[in-house]
Amino acid sequence: MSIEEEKRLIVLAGQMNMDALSEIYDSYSPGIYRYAMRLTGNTQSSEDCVSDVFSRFLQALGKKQGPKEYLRAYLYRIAHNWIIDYYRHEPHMVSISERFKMQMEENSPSAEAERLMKKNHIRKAILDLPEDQQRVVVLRYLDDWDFEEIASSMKKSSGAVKALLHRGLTNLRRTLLPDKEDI
Amino acid sequence: MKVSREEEIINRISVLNEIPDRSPLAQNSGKQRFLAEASSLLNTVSNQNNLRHTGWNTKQNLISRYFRKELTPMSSALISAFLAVTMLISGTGITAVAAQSSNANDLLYPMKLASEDIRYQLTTNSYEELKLAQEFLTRRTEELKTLVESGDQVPDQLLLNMQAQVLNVLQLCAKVDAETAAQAMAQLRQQMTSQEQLLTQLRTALQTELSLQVQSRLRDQTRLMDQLMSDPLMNQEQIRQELQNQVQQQIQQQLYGTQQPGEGTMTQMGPGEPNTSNGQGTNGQGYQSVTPTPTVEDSSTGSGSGHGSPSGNSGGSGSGH
Repeated sequence: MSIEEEKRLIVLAGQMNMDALSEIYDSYSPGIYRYAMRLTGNTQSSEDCVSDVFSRFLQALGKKQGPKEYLRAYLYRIAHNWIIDYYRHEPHMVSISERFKMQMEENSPSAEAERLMKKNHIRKAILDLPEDQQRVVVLRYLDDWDFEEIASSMKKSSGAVKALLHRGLTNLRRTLLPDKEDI
Repeated sequence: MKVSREEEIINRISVLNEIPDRSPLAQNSGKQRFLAEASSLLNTVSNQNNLRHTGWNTKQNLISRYFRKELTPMSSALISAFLAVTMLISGTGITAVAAQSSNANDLLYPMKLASEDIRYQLTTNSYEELKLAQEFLTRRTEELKTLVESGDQVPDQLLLNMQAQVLNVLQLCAKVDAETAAQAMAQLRQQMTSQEQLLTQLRTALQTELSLQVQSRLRDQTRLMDQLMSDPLMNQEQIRQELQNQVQQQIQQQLYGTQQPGEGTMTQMGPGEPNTSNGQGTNGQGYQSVTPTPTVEDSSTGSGSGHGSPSGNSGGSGSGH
């Protein structure tokens, strides 16, 4: 969606235009759902995330505090904050990890369980990064955002985003490929 | 070589892109809920209730850095000795029990604070600490209420102690789970509002510069809290941190004027003069000098006239009035 188109939708959404709100939901809720799924790995939590993101968006509109531009970036920021809060509530990562560990010990190690463990490990590695690095890594490599868009969403320069990405990858390498660190 | 390692990482994390399709039913019902909420918002004149989560977290414990859990070591030792001697004399600790109903202007009040401090030190985890900190904050509000209703002078120490407890609760919120912290924050807001309202009722003749300052700051803090909570781009931790910074900054201003902690021993400011540096309160009530370093014991060589520890556990509490 172009910037002009987003701006038009934002104006209409501010007037609670149902068509515009519907279009916004259709355009962005699938992406936000995927974003939440990548980081939580839980369908119900991801649905909750989407629901809460759009609810907060409406509340902001109701108070005339909604975004003026970069709607997608705005919604993703809310989603990212939601996910951070989600992990503060309960140590989900541990419980999921433990569950599959138990499953693997009790039954024969299934490929699926192993796969889930691996995903969980990667997810944890990403979530252990500083918040800015998390966002850059996920938006760039998992959501395919370009540098300019990430930069504007984070109110940083492209150079700063690239530097964050570099640091993020370096940190991930330390966690995910520790044996290859010095190669 | 670098490129290949980068690619390897990217390949690894791309496994997270394997996501099952979203249920069309869930998507559709989510959209319907969203539009229904928008529709109700459109038809509602007043604002919706704030539905967002409000929980938080983090680390540093500045309260212990500056206030040593409401006690300066010297006054702590003195109070403990006093407490021990009194209990020996009374034999049953009746005095300590009686102190529980004392107020900030009473002789037994330091004992009440000392017993609180002992209870606090006996806690074994952050949840208990938070619960106690909330209880003590409620007590301070009750004490303020009693003083205001009886038309008595409100000691500056009580006001400072109230703020220190607010900061303490905020810091402890960082150490508990988000839901507990959210509840604590909601309760904290109520307490702050009550305190602000009580200070508003204070008779003009009894108002001090500090009471006016604290009143205005409480108002600012509750407004800030509301404002932050209504900002969907703030997460719980950011809100808590922001508020903590504000309260901390204000306490530092009261204690140190414009000087920042960590710059060595400074004479604390008198109430009402946060931006001057003469260290003398306008009402002639100076404060102790404090070395704001967690590892260095507070000095007690200040020019104070009986106020003692700003957080309230020193024996100086009502004697200055």
